[in-house]
Amino acid sequence: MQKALCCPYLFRYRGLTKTLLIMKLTGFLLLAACMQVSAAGYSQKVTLSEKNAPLQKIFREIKRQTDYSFFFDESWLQQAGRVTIDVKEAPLEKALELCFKDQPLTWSVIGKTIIVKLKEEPVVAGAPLPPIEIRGAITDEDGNPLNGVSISVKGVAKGVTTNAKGEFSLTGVDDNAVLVFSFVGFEPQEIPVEKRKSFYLRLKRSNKALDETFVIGYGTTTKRYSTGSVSRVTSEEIARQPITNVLQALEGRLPGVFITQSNGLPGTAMAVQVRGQNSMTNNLQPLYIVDGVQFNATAINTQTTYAINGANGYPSPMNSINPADIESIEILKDADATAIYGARGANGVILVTTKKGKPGRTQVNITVSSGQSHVSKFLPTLSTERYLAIRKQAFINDGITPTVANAPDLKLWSQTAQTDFQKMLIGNTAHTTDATVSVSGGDLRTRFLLSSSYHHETTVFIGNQGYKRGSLNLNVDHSSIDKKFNIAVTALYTADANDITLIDLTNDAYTLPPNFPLYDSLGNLYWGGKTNPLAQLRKVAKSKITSLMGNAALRYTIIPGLELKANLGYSKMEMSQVQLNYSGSYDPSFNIASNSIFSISNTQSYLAEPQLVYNGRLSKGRIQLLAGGTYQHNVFNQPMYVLASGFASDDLLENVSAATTRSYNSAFGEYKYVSGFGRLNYNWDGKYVVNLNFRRDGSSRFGQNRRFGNFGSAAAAWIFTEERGLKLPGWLSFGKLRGSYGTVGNDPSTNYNYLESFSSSLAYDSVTSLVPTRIANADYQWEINRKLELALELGLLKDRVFLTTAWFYNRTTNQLVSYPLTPQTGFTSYLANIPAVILNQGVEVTLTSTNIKKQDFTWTSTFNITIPQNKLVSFAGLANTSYASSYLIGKPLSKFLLYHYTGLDSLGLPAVEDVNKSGTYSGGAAANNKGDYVYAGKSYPDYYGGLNNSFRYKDFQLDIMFQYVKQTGRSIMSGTFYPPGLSYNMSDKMLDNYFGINTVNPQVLLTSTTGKAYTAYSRYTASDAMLSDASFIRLKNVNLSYAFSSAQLKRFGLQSLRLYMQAQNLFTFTHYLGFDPESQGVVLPPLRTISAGIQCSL
Amino acid sequence: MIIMLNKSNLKYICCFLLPLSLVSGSCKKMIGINTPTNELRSISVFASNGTAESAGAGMYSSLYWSKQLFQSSLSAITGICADEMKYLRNTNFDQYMNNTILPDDANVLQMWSELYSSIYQANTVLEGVNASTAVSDSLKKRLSGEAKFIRAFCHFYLVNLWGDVPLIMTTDVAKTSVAPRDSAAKVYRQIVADLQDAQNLLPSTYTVYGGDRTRATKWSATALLARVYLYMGNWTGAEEQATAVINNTALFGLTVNTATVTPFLKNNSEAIWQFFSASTATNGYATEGGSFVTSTANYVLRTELYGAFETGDKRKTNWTRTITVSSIVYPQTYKYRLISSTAATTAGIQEFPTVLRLGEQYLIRAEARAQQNSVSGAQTDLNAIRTRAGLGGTAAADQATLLTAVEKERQVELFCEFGHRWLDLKRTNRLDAVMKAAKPTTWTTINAALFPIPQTAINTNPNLSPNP
Repeated sequence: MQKALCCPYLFRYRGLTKTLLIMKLTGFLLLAACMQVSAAGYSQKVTLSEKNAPLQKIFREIKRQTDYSFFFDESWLQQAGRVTIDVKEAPLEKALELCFKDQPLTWSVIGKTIIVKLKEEPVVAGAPLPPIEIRGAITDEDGNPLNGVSISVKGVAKGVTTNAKGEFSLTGVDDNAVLVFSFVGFEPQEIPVEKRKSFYLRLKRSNKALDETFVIGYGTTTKRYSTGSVSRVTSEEIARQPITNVLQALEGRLPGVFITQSNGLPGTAMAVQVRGQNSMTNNLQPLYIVDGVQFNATAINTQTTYAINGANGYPSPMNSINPADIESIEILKDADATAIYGARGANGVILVTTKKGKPGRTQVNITVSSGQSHVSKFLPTLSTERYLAIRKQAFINDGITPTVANAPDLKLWSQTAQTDFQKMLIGNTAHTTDATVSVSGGDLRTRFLLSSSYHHETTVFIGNQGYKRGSLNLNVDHSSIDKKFNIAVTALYTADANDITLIDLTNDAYTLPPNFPLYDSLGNLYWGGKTNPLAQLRKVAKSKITSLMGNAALRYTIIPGLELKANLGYSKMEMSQVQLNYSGSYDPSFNIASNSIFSISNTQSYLAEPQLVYNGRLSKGRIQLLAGGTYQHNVFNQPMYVLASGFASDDLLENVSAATTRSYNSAFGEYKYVSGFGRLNYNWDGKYVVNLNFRRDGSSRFGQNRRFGNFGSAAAAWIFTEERGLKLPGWLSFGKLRGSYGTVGNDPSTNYNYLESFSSSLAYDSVTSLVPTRIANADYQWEINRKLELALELGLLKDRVFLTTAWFYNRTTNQLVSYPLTPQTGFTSYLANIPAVILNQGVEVTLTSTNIKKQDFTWTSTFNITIPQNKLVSFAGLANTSYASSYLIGKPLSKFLLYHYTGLDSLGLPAVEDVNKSGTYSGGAAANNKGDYVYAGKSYPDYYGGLNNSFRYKDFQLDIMFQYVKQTGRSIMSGTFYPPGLSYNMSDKMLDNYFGINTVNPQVLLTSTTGKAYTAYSRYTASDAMLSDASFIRLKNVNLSYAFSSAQLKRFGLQSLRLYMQAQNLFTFTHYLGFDPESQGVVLPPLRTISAGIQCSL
Repeated sequence: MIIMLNKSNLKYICCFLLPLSLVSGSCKKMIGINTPTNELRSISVFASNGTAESAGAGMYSSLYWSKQLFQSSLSAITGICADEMKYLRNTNFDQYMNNTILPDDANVLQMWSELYSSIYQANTVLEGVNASTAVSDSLKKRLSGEAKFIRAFCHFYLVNLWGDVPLIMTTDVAKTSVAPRDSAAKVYRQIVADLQDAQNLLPSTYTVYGGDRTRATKWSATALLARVYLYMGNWTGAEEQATAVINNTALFGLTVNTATVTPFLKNNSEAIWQFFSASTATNGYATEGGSFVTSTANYVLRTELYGAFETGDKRKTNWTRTITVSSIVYPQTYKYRLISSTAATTAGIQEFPTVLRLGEQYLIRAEARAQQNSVSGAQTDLNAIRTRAGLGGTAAADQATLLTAVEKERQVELFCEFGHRWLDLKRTNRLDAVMKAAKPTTWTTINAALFPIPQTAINTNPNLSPNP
């Protein structure tokens, strides 16, 4: 036994075993480390004059001169060099500095004790080993130190836990021993010692979903202790799907989240609705937060009245985030989860977290894939024979003789040619190429990730169009040595280019007569009073978007448990568009010159969010307090929108200065936001959890009387399986009952709607003119959404089966509507809040089950279903507003108000009911005395959800995902304007439906758009006869992959290698009368995509 | 536990100063924003002469450009209601033809709303310049005059089309949204007061407007006042005001009547007040022409009007035309007939929609003189118009025949110009007799003389009563 001299404490323990001594010492060192006491404060002086003296001697001398004592392990001092020192009346600190100079030791002071420690750096090679035989540090997968990991020696009653930095040390361990590392929420690891002296480990999070952490507003939580409703998709699920926009990957996967794709073109808009439609006219979008920074999810070109739009519609800004850069997406739904976002959380919150670097060996990851997409369903249309027969009959009915002028299809064009325009125009193959390369790595203090990706896809249209995207993601994370300070910086840069026609060719493909000749005898484009679809290709909309999102997250631990944080964000998105109308895109007989439109617009956003977080213990519970503030500033700017014409040549269309006539417009908007927020979370004994949120928001979008408002929520969870008094069945492994209630706001998506202002109008006799914009409303304010949720979460059979059932009941009031004013005031309406109430309620069920778990084979299933209900509960004075013709009290907002079809009339024409007996037919809700429309159902689904099955056999992985929706839609007939008899093609099935029987009723067919047949047709297409079951079950996603085993790979120097095949929208089972039940109407349906790829890491 | 700041702590803490410094200051100030570039806070509009002038120009711009009323609907609907025009394109306008307009008619609601919208705007300008300390006195004076002129002009149409109407003299929505209908007499008193003020406030030449006759002057106020007095039966007042205009020969004189020289050319000597009409490079008529001159039979002249022209009347040759569709000949109004030239010739539009012109002043004075039994005076004025039309002197020689002659002359001179015929028949109580003759099967009640107060307006103002 070695002696610890000069230490009064240790003298008392003389005779104890060395191990115990060391353990005590370690404990003391841990305490010292935690207490973070600085030596700067003491003032005692010492005088020393020694040559080549051992440290012990110096220590004795200092102890004699001061009232400080030393604490050390003797064995360390053997490694220390001898000291030569000569100081007079020097401060103690100074003297100690000289003594420890160049020593492998360091020191710190607690009270009147000077503690001597080994320096942290690994001992240089060749130096004698310290008596503590095993040292190390434990972190999570992201490199964050884990405090409290227990390290024990298997079969021996010996063990330690890690300190706040994740460090531990252990001595007296046999080389044949096995160390066991374990920590709640992580997979335990057992490692044989085998003469290893250092263990720097990363513990894997346990697959137990219960303890997986996920992101919530301004923090994280686990499924076990969460009090709110959060749905989650991880990078693995996203990676299984060959998609361009990450929102496409969420369809059917999340309960309470209904996502529809508008069309099958690249960059298409995605409609996302979280728990139903909360507002009649206001913002319907959820709030998007990317790495803590608000992401403007409104397409830039919807923020101005001067917009250019290609066939794909308003592009979804989420296209600017490469799906491969996303680590996880959390969707916050109930009051508990959303109230921390105050006035912006009513429609739910979508949190996107990007990938971060991981410590360890530097890893290079390469993924390359290539795929093909097709329209999966065409709609059979009339054959030339049937089409011509109908046309001929229509002319007979009209008593008109067909001529070359009024019927070129009968008199001029081939009577036998039959072109399948759908195959030709939208039946091509779109090619997709994706490549991502990433480099990541780092150590415990600094981690980085740099990834770069390229995506290219073409369209199924005829011609060369396509979409390209390149992205760069840089993430750096750094901590100070003491791990008290951390900074994480992320920069996401994306540039994309979309080159697409102005008009979706699907309409032409569907309606062009089958014998329409595309070219005349000279080989020029043929028109003949129609729009030649090949000419449509010469109307081009090009758009380029560059997006930079940068943010820095700072964290500083003031004292253990108390952290100061700050989030700083900046983003800029710029959209540059040009619309080119080449002269060849117009019918030459109209003599229209080529022209073009140019537009540049950008949005910028600045964000600063300081926060203070405290984690501590109170009685038998853990308490977490959060207080923070937000300052956000968004600017929209469209410096130019130019209509240009008078080009000398089509080649100059992209050069604005070559135009002889130009007209300019510009737009600007600004938005500021300032808030204070707080949260209190108390978890008592892992059994009861209470969570309170509060936020006070101020927004520049509101009238000056109502700029600030308060929002908040209260939630509680009871984990009843932790309750010892309850007698629960053995198969119930986890049970939690939770509930939340709170108030959240719905911020409008437009600025200035309250403002008393003048707008510029057309100049009058060369004087700029200003006209009043609106009736100002100083009380203009957000809509108020009150959310109530109750949920039961159960884990069965040792958590192999998980069942979550949630019931929600959300009422939105204070609806922002255009409130009617009597016109004598000067305006017919103004925007105001009215106490109309909209109710969204429903049930969501998620079932996750591990069906089989064997060494070589696992099978897991996930099923979810949402049964929503939406209703306009009340709207005082509805009859006097412009909404009277379109909304009904007691009915859903997404209603079908249509004529009621009553069958064929005496002329054999389809007839509709004159509900108000006025003798005439007009649109508008009959129930509100506004016309003849009746409530005929709703478009919002009755229920929807998805079923995913994942199988793993050895190195094979197979995922099969079905999406299902039960809903009603309007058939394709309601999307076309022309009745049979006119020179347009249509679905033969629709035609049979229209005739009622499969024979042609001559009265139905006329060639003009003014006759009775046309009127009857237009009422028929606006009637409930158009409703079609638009329910569908879709094989949404199939993913098959094979991962080579690491033994096979070592020879090639590869870490991992995976081959995969993926398919999206593979099959759809539906009775819908049209192209696709999801997009509906005459638009390009979502495509079927099949791709194959390879992923390897080096 | 004592926490001491050492150097490294301080270093890290400093990193947080950046976000903290942003989030400081008063919350109210922090969410102050700039207005969009195409909007201006009301308070700053009247903080300078330039923007106040723009608010003045905005009254005309929105009265003409942003509204259907003076681009087509006023002339069209009153023309169809009266015996001037038919609409053949579809049955949408049958209720005007049959004088059975329902209170929920969208066009009537639009006309009502547009007139009050311009009154709101005029009141904004009046209140703005009155409260402003930055706008120069001379500009204040002129803008007030213009605003009062516009307000009187709009009230004039309201009171004539609907009868008793709310008189709106403020922008305060709390007051205007519940204002009941005021008696026609009260509305007329205010119109006269506004026009008299305008006469004093407005400039007496067009030079301040750069020579274009597109904004209000003392003469437009005087010409409108002459019309208002005539409608009120104040014959001396009407004669006096019309004389003031007619005597200003330095500014005004009747034009000749040829195919290319008409009183509808921009800034012609007959014009007292016109709407400025711009044109882009594409070919087109001034908007009135755009509506009425079509190659298909849309608005066609009724025989009551087309047959009223005497033989040799140049107005028939130069101000109307016929088109033939499916072998049927349809007459059309053709007052605005000149297609604007293309960008290459830079001339742009050549005609301005003309609201007040000297020809009407002669007819006002002829009628006022006839009413006062001044036969020769009435004949002189009537003949001034007839001579210009290429016709001989009137045969009417006593009060009764002269009044009939004036009515007819107004019919063929002022047809399809912003409702003259409809309003003339109403004010002279001749509507019932004329319409019974013109529309024997559909004209049923004199109640149709007034448009219905729009149902939407009644629904949103509890104090507004419907017309019988």
